[in-house]
Amino acid sequence: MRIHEDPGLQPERTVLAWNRTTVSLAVCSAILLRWTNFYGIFALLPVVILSGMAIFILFTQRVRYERQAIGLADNKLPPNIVGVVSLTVTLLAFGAAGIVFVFID
Amino acid sequence: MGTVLDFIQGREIVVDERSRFARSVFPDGEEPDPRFTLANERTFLAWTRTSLAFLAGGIAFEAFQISGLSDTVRTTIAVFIIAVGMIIAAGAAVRWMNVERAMRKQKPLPVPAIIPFLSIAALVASAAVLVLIIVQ
Repeated sequence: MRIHEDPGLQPERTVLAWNRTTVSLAVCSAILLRWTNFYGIFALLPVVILSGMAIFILFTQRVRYERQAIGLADNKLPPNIVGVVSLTVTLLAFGAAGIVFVFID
Repeated sequence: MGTVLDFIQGREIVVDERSRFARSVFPDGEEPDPRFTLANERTFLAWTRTSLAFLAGGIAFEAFQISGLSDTVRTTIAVFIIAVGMIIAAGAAVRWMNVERAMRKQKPLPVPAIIPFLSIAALVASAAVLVLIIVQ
């Protein structure tokens, strides 16, 4: 079933952009594994949060696609505030944790 | 005039449907073309990945020992890279919001502040590498 008629495939492209972001999140969290030798469980916490977020995004891609495709078909799509804010907050917290780890050394 | 009033009243009903958070972030204007909203979201995600590359780079820089580099220099560079990543992450969200606001009011898109910031950060990094090469 085709939900939208957009030849530019906007929802497909946007969902794929989210997909690429999950890969980046996974890679970024994997680098922190290098620090588990020194900081133990504390280095593992950001890894769990980041990869957990990546997995959550992957499993909710269908919901995201449907929301975008229906919004496109209705010509009325509210901006994804929750997605943008939660991703930004996660990144800022991750960066702050990184700086703390750097200084503890 | 009656049409305008009806229109305004119609708008108010639409605005009330949104959450309080959505209303505070985007108080006025109307939803732009969904394709533009999605393009804005993809641009935000591209900046987010740029930020993630910096965050990963900074952490990797500190985590992996590099011979011939003192601890102070290594820590300074790592913190610099992570800070750049954090500023880009925050800047991406701010830009996303500003672009969305401009589109809602059908105004010209704002000039991006994170692009010159990224250039300056790259310039500083290049200069630092040059100095390190000359000093050693």
